[in-house]
Amino acid sequence: MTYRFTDHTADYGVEVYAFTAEEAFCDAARALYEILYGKNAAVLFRAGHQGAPAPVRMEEGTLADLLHAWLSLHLDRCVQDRRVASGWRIRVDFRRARLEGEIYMTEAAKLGLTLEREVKAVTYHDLRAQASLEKTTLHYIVDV
Amino acid sequence: MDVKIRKVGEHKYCIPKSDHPGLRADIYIYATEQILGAIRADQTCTQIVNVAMMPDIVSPVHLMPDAHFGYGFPIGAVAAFDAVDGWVSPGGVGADINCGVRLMSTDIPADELNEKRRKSLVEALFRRVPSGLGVGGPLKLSGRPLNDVLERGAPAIVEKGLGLPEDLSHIEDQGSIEGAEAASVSDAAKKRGFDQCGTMGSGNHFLEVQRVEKIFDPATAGRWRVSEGTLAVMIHSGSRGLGYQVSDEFWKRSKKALPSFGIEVADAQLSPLPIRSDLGREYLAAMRAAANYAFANRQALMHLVRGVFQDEFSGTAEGLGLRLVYDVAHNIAKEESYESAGVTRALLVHRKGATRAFPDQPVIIPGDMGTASYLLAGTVAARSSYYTVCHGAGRVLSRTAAKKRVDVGRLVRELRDQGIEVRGGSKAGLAEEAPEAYKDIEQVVDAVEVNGLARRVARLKPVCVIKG
Repeated sequence: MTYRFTDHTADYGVEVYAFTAEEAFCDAARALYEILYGKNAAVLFRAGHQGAPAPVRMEEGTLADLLHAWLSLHLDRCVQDRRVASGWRIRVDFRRARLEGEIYMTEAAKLGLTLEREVKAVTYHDLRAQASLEKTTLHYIVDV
Repeated sequence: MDVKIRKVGEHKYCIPKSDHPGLRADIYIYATEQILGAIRADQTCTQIVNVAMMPDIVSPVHLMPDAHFGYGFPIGAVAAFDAVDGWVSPGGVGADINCGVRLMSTDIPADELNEKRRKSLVEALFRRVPSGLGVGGPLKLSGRPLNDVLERGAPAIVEKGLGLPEDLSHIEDQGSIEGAEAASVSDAAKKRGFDQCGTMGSGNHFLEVQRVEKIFDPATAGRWRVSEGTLAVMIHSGSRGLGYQVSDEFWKRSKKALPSFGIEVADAQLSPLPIRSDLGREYLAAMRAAANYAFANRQALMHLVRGVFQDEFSGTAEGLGLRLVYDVAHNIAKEESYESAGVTRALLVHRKGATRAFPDQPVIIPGDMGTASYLLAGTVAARSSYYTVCHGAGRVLSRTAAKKRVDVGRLVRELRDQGIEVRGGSKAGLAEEAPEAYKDIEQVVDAVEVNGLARRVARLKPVCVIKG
């Protein structure tokens, strides 16, 4: 895992460093789950793909906006449906700011997960996404 | 921009627009020197400058002493636009629409609460007042009943038997903001609001039983029926997931719409919408609906608290004197009239982490869980700040820093040694909300009082603290 939490007065900031955009987007989501469920979120990563796969496809004007949409999808499923993504297979076209693939959603309770923190939203503040063929760096802040 | 901050009075500073090209409004900062240092240390100054650069902003804008970094507007910011031709900024209201605070007084002597009764009371409150995450409330609202709450607020809850009719006259706008439209609230937001009315939430939301430790203004305290040495209850909560969903949806929509308005803002999260535009009107209608939901939420919470007190102290609400002192919002945009140069003008006043303080209106300022909270009274002089003061102590430590620094077991023991019983939903949550994470409430209130914006009426010490 290549993410870390950054200091922020009232909320949580996340920095992600990865070789590929896919790895970076995956780690960005894992960081969000750790904020939501605490260290217990590691359960998700060991759970394997559970539940039926659902297609996911999104395209935005910028890679940063794509990151926002990707994280918001996870947050919305978590808070509205109490479901988490136990796995995903995604491809990120960083030049076109496009993401597609499959995501496996399952009930958080089935994985023994309980919310530790209430996240109001993924903010646009200091939302950054830079990608090249060699590396991808992301930064986002969630409003707790 | 290299910001020049000038001291213009005791605990008052100014960033004059005349000194800074691009600034459209003067900025007044109410702060002690120490607090000003904290404000300078994060991006708060940059954010308030961004606000003062917004098109059509009415001068001046204000920054309260509990200010800290936010999204769009900083927390503690107060700014206004013309109510007809100006702008409404979702970033100037905040994600938790009508996050606010309510104070209930009692006739119960605080000395009746010995350690055993304190533990029993805190356990009963923790058990019976929904707090924390994923916990549903006493009401399941959908369809017409939910729409009624969105459009009428606290009165709709009182009519369901959750409170007393006389409560309503002690709530800002009688707990019901005009212009709310349930149709402007999305199905996703309504789904989140289904079972959250009457729930506290988590984070910095809390329920505190407090001792009225000292009365500074006996006449006002007497009028408000707050007596030294008695118990009081303070509730801090907002519009819950419904409000967050409304905010998030309109933030996204306003960000997309921004290029069409032909303006530039320094921060996309300011996200201004012309009040005359369809989207601006829709946001105002939805914001007011979410605000009404928050008033309803706090009304339902107080009803649950009254029930616990009636059982724990074996009395009736009337017999125990369980009275609402006031309920006030601190994340909202309100249309209010102000006179300038003999002309009365309707302004849309944005208060983000800031509390309305009309003359002689109760103003409730929660501190941290270990020190004190304050009950203030608004003053005529507060007209200079759109009748607005601070909303709390304001954070100084980040959540990650607080978690690293605070030993929760030691915190709970230390508070218990001070006679404060704490019950929280999670250790991480308690650590993040530890007293050392917040500014000194005395300095915050000093900065407000010295500038004549409000006056101290009573200081309240926590006795029982429930965190989500």
